[in-house]
Amino acid sequence: MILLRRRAEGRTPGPAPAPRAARHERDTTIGEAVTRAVTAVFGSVPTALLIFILAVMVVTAVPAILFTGTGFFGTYFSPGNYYLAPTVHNGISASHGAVFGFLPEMLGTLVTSAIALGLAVPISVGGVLTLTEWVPRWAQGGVGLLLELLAGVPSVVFGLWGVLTFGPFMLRTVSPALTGIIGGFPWLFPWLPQGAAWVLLGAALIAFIGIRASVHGRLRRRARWLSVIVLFITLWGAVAPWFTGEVNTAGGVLTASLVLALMVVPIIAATTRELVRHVPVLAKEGSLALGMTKHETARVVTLPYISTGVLATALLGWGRAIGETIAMFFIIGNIFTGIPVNIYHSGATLSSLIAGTLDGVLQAKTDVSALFAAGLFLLVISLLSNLGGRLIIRRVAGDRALPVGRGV
Amino acid sequence: MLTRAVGSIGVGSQVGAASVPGGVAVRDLHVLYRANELLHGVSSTFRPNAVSAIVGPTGCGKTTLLRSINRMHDSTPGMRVTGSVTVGGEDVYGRGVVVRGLRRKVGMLFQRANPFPQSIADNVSLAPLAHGTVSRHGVSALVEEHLRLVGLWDAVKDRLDRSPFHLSGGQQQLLCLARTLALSPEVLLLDEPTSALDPDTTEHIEGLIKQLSARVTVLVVTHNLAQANRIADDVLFLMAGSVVEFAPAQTFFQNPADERSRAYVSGRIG
Repeated sequence: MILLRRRAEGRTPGPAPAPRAARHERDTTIGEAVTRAVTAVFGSVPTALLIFILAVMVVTAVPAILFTGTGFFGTYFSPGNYYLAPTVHNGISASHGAVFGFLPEMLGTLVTSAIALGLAVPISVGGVLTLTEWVPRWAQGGVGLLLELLAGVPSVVFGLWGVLTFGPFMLRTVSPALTGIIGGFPWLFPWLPQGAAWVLLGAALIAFIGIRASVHGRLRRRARWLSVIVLFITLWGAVAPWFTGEVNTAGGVLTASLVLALMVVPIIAATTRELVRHVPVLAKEGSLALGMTKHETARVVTLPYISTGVLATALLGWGRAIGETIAMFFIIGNIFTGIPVNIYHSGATLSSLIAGTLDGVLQAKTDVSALFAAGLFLLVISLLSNLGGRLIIRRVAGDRALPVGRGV
Repeated sequence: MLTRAVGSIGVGSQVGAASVPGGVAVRDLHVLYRANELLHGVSSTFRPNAVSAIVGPTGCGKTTLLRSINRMHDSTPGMRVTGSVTVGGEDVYGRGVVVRGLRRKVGMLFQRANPFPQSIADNVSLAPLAHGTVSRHGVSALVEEHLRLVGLWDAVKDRLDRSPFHLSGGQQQLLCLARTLALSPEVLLLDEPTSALDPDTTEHIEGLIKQLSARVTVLVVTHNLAQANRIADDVLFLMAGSVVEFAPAQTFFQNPADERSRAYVSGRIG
């Protein structure tokens, strides 16, 4: 369009004003209108697709929703028997004895992703910092290449390896050791039934909110320490029981979580590596010139610089972890009958449930509808956690945000 | 990966100014980046407790010289330093020199403000805490003392726990100065500290530099001759990696010995 304008100007001799605005002087040219239309179409495709998918899922899930109601939060899932007399509820007919409780799968999805991310984020960030600060430059490229190769390994390969190689190793070595160590700790709440863990988790949350409040100066330093201690005790009380007891399978929730962590590490590490590379040299030199060590510089300068980016990357990894299907399907055991007693037992995730059930229930419309409902839950969990993550990032970025071009 | 060939050439007994605390002496300093020689044997003895300005055209090696003094070239692969630099009589590139300790004695301020992405108070206290020169109980006093010293206290006393990135560029540079001074350095290296700042802040910082030079040796790189004229006691004029003239400021500006200095001062080159 600039070319067009130049040519047009060349043709108009002198400053004589045209009586009518020439084409090149109008605010919108045809080219611009076309561009706008084309970009509008392409720009709206992703949104439209999301809305379309959501609409299809909701509509397809309606029969199951009517059939089950709040029963989705039950702990038992069964597609029922298609060849016996159908069960009818709320005017919806389903296979004989069909029950659609997704609570174990929802928890399975959340727990495997949480464990995976809880391991993957520190491993990736620590690994990348070590790599960029302490590994000689010529070796960095090789390790970076390995990371990217790891990111390219198909998840079905991870699944195979997990169930055939890593799973038996866990069963023989790691899981018994872990349950032995954690079970051997002095019990804080030996008299509490395992269900009480949830109460403790609630208490832990309250303690956490207390800590947040104290950060903002509403509680005094001593209260802050107290709430940290309460948080640890309650978290221990809530979490530890799930890590003790009998080990009964090579797969199971823990093995699946660890393989998931391995799958998420390259995603987070690759982005973190870019983030670390883009920390301004000037900022790091400010610390080095004060005689701070590399370690102190990493803590004081590099980590704050990359923290928001790492959170955003973790969010990406979380999305991958929640949606990961085939590896989970292979490893986790796909047991739909109740919440596993500990993480050394088989369980299921929403995606592994869908993958494992669909083939057998294609005839049964309400079962298929229930699987769509499961997919809907997965989508909701994914969207909610994404929104939550964004809120956290905004809060973290709030005060320490680094405005571009201002002493950075 | 970092090869440094450092030959200490005749620095067994430094005489005069160089061995006094804060005295800085450079002997036959060559700095190479790969095959490029950036400094061709620079030798100068900077007076302690005085302001020495290092001036010269762009690319003449001013910053390279400055960064050799606190060994900032260490972390740049491909940089080689030969010759000797002494601070307070001690060879900076000698065996067994603790770089950490050297940089505590030799503070540095950069062209642009680079505060830590930490709170304003932590910016001042982190390095002294890391070096163990202040106890946890002494932190708030230390922070206040040095923020007052640079004249920033009144502006930030109500937001010490906030981010420094909301401050103006000049205030950020003052914070960096406070952060450096909090380690009580003997030598202060300033790399065009006011080149990105407004005239008011520049004047303020120049005043501070004059005031500080009573107890600190100041080496300031500047491309601003007027600034050198205002604050410097001595002027080192570099061209293409070699010393052209090193003279008291008055001599340098009014009656330079070298023809090139005369041309530079009068604005014919540079």
